[in-house]
Amino acid sequence: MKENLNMDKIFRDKLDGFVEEPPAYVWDGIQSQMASRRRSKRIAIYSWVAVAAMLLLAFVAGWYFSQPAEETIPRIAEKESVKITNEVIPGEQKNVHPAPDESGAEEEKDPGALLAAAPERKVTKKERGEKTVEPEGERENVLLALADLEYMERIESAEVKPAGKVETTSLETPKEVKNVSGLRAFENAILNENARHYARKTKEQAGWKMGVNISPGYSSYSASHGANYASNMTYEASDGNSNLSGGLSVQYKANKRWSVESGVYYAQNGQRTGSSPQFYGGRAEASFAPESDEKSYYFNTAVNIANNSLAMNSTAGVIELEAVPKGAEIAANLETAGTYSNSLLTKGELSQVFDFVEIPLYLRYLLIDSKMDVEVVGGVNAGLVVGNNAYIDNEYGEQNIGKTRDISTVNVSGTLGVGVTYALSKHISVAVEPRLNYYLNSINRNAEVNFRPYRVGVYTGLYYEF
Amino acid sequence: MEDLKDIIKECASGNARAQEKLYRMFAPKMFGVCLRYAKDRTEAEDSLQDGFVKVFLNIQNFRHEGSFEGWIRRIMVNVSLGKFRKQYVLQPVEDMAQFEDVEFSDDILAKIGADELMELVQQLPPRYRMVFNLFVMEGMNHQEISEAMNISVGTSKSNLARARDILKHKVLELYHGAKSNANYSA
Repeated sequence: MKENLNMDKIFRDKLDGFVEEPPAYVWDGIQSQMASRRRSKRIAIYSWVAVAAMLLLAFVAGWYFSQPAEETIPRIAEKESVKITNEVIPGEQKNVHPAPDESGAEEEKDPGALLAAAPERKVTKKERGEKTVEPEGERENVLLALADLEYMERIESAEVKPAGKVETTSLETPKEVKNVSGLRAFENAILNENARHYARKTKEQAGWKMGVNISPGYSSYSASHGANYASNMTYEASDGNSNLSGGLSVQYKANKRWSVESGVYYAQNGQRTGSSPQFYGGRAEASFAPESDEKSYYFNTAVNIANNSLAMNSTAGVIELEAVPKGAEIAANLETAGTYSNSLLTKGELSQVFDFVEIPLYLRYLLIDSKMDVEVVGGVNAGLVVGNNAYIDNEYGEQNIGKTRDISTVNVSGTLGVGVTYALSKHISVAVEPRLNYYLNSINRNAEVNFRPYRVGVYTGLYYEF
Repeated sequence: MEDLKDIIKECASGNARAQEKLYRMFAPKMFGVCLRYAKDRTEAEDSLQDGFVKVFLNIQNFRHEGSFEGWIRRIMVNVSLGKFRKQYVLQPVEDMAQFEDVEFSDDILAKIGADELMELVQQLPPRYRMVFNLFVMEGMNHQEISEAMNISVGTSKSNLARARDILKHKVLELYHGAKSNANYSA
């Protein structure tokens, strides 16, 4: 025994004084490791700036594109953009309950908690509390540091313990019980942290996500028209349409923050033209109105009768009428403001509806990464017009009266949105995402018509993450 | 010493120059610590690098109570311990074969250089090396070692005995080798 102690002492003396200059690249390695930590912190700041810049750019672009492309002399209904009434979808937000603090629940289940000393637990708890607000990179450090600290304490106490205590401690039964579990407090902390990391990993890893979306929406437009066109145009006491859109979404998560989205969406856009005051625009006179006892409001728009066809200038373009709608009359204009000599009179409302199939290409950025993620989405859509109809809604019901001329089949729109995603399970999540979709080109090719529909919708979706 | 305090403070506020100064002050000594916990130089360099990164990241937590060198050293030991836990989770059951007791005088040991002793320690099987280091160099008791390494107290004790046995044998080998070499050259 004594021989051993002597041997130990010689080893200790010789090795304790052992000094060796480490190779130079070790310092380089330390520097680059420190630098990469600083960099990841900086990147986090930059990406916030980038998001802000992206939003700003998107709004500036929207503003820019909404300016009329040509200079026109203002006359009757030169330019109009319809204000979006704030449509609140009731019940939408109510579904989103704040997530219960799961880390707290884990804490309770932790088997080590029963065995580990109370003060040690306290340290871990506090550390964990801090961790939730810390950036990713820091988390590990804190954990390692935590392990360190515990060790430091342990080693420190070891140093002041008399050597003779070795035997007695080993016989202490409660301490043995602690060993049986095989886990000590800080290891439990590591295990828990690993488990949390593992759970998060699914979020962080690149992968695919699919979803179905449905959105009640409100569509309207911004439009401007050539002077000549406008003089024969429908009265623009217009408002938007409420409608339903939706589709399939496929997202590819490139990294923790960014993902790319595509899919297929169906959406309706259009405009609704209200009835005009009877004497509006110097068109058909009151006496030509079919029911003279109700003098208030009529749909009263100049129509062009040429080559056996009936055409009417509307906000979104020239409507080709297939026939005179039921409950409507063609009357001659007495004094014309425009160039057309007849007017279509009916007690009803005109609406133009375009059905779009939109193929999006969106970028998504995860702003807030928690149980309830907040994402910013922005991008462009190829909007294919698959339906083009005009309706008159009068006492005979809604009649399809024809279609709008010169509508481009392929159009481009921009989309901007902010969404909240709540994970129901590891794979399934629900998302609520208000989006603005704005057409960047006029969907009408006619040079006199600049018609850009937009739509505001609250997309509610169910997503499956692979 | 006042100087060191300033350097530590500067390091805490992220001053790269101060960090380098601190590194230059402690790296050789700490490399020695890492070396005896590692199986080779590469592993020791790795531990030293990770250890210093941790030192810089946590230096603001140093409370200037007790020796700074002790603090750094504990970090190095913990990094080595962490590496050990990661690498040698699944340890085969140790062979219980015993060397016959060797006649051994401390004079022999005293003659052997630190470099050679370091090499002998590095050549020990990982767990023996760890137990030997923690017990002899860090002054931990078996209870502490068993907790740190997640082994039983008995295992810690037998590992220490085995480590000593192996070291004695190797020292003797080295000594005789040296002697025969000396004879040869004479």
